[in-house]
Amino acid sequence: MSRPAGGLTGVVLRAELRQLLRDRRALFAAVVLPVLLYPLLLGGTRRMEEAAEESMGGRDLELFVDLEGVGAETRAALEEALAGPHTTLTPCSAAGLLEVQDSLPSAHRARLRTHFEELTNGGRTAVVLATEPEGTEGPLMARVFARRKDPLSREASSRGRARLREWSRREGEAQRLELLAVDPAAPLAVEARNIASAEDQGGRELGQFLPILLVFLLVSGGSYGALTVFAGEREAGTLETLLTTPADRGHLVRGKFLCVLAATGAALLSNLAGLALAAAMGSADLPGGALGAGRLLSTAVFLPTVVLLTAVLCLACGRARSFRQGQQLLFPLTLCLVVPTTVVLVPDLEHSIGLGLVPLAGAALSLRDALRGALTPGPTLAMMVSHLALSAVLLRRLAVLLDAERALAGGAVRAEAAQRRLGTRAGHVVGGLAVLLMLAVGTRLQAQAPLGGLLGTLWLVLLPLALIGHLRIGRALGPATPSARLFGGCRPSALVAAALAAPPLAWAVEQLVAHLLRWLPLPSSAAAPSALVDLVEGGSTLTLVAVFALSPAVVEELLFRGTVLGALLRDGRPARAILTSAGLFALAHLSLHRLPPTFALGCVLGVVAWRTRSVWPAVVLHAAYNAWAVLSGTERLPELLADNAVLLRWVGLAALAALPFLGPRREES
Amino acid sequence: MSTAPDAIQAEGLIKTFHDPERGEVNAVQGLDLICRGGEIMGLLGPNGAGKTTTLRMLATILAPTAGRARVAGFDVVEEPLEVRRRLGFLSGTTGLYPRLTARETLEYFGRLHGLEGPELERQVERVVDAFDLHAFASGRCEALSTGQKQRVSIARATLHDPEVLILDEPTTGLDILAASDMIRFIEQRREEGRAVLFSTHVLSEAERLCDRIAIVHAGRVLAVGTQEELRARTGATWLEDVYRALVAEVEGQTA
Repeated sequence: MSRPAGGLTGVVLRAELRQLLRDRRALFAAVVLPVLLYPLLLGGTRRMEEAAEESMGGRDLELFVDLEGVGAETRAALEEALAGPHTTLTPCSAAGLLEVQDSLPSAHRARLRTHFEELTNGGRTAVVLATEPEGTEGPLMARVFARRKDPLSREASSRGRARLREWSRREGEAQRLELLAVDPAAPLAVEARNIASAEDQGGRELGQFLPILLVFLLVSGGSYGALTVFAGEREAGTLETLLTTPADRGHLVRGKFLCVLAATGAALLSNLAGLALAAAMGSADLPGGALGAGRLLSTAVFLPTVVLLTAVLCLACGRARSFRQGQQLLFPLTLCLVVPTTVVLVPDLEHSIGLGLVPLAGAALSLRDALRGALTPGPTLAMMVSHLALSAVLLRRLAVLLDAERALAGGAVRAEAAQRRLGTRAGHVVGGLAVLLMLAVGTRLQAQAPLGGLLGTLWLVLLPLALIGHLRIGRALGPATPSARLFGGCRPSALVAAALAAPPLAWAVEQLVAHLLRWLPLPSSAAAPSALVDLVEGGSTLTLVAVFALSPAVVEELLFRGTVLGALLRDGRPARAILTSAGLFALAHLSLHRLPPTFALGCVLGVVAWRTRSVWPAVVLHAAYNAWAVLSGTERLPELLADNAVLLRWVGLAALAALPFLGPRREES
Repeated sequence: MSTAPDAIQAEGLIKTFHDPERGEVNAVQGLDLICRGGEIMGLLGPNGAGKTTTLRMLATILAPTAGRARVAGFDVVEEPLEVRRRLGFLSGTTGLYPRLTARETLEYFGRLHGLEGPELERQVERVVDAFDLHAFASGRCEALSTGQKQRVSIARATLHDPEVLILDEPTTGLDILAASDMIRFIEQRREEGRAVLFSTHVLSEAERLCDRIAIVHAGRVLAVGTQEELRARTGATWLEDVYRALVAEVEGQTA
């Protein structure tokens, strides 16, 4: 058996590819759709626009005119100018329109509209009102009234204005020539020139949507491959057979992964080919139509993302027990993968190393920059390394997934499954109650006495809810299994790591909030009650830490992590439990602006509690995070900490990364 | 090569599934088994007795929680690749790749077993002849009947001429003709001096085929022996009654 190591991977890859190439759906998703989508999409919208314009331009319109305010000679000239093809002129008296408009504040627009409709028999047109200049020297005034919401009215207005402008240009030129007796263009020629090349312009426009479109296309292109290669294998019952051959599991996973990578790679190439095709179809003003080969080649910065997306797809489909289950997974997965790439829609967002580390968002920004011809090496390098590293981690998980122990172990026992669902329901009830109590009692208490209300809500309402809820769930459902028991002790190292992990978390949340405010400006009414502001500004550091850090940390963690997450974890699906508990935690903060950051925070705290099997590291992390945020926000951070913020951030990052591995030792669990 | 005369040896095999939410599931609880070369041995027991788990442990798909097992002289935990080289495995739920032809399937698995070139061709031709696959060898597997598929599967399992064949309810879902074909194939392996271990809950199959039978119940082997030995031990004539008597014996002990 002296076969080279890569040989078996190749055997698996060839067999998988052969099957994939015989799957019409896979070929359509990976090649046909990406090639055709772009030309069809752009060609289609252009045709529709043209058709709409054509049909509007050909519509017969009745244009209402009031030319009584100008001299007879001008009136005749204007009438001749306005009465073009498909247009009939109807005289009317529009002075009232002018009066109504001048005399009414904007709040009474409704009456203006009524008047307009009465004047024009329904308002689906425009009214042109021409008047002599107010002084002796001013120009002739022509006002065009229309309702922009109505397409016919809009067309009438634009037709009227275009013809008036054309007349005005011709008239002006004639007058000037008459007055000056020279060509008015001669003394000074002014011409607008766009400094940006067509390539830059196209690249900029393409960069705004190609990263988003590509992720969508790559996921859909690779999805059939991943489904066939992993979920299909399990469903067809061939996995077991495969695992009894003397082929190492690493070879099997690599072969399968490479097959899916071929599909996503084909989707990438097909999409670029589609782009070129769309440009070749004669749409020179198409974004990307003017893109040179070099610029197109620079999309290679997206290759690590292709690898990452492939790994994600493989992992998702590897988890699915059947083709169908995998398909159901794909839609939400696609959404989750596309969302980070929408970062390219933020105007003038500069790429940075930090952003480069964010999966998919960093890649989207690098691709945007590459298309613009302004690739930033540092962030792009960070992006490539982090994306490939993440892919490697996912691939290792994939090898574990192919482990038959998980794939083939017996199904769930029905009675136990029902019992587990009860745990989930209990978690939902307690979490929902917490949100309701915050809404009904908490806000009222805090409106009456901000400080007392805050502390009262925490200690007198939420803490009893946490403790009573925990006891009742324990009594109703029996003792939890070790992984759902979060009220136990933990390793001291976990507490230390939790305390250290606050600065990077605070920094990340700060960035997230700053990002959010760009999209969703904070309303002025959202300011904190003045008594709290006074406390924040006037209170001693110790008071601040007690009120804003310790109190919420202890109570909220016992409630949302200890009781709610503990109950949800009985279901045996940690990811779902953590996301749900974080969602409830975020909802309980009753603020649209705090929803995303508190949700993110809830996820981190949930993972910490779940992995360390204890609520206490989460309490410490929450308290340290709040303290850091409040103290740095009021510039009261001790000098020693403030001066070393960057160092602490890196140390904290290491601590945060270590936290999930500081759970109980094997023999204890 | 190993000097051990036994094709399969299992001692105190235990499999406990650790499920954090469901606690511990004891699928196999101390199973001993010996199967010799040239022998057909049947594992007989109802669903949930631990037959499939046992066979999967012997086929190196599952790792035993405790105990030892050797197949063709190699330890299933320490040298799983060596075991797999000498093992053919087939279960009733085994599927085929719908988009590969029967011949491509055989070639794929032959390559995974390290066969190449003329040797691969020779072996593929051998099993195509042996299992009479000529008529449909170049058709895609998705178009085959259940019986044809099972023939391709058994051809696939014996392509590398394994010393040990492990079959998990190989006749499940087959019609009478296909099932009797399968039984004929199994007998053929015995004639070639190979060991076959197969599980079933069809008593007539066991009665017709097996040199020795192991009665499995709740993850343990209650008794092993030839049919005569088992009848003599329990005083029952029919295998069904043998099984009942053995279960009653154990449950009487534990009650």
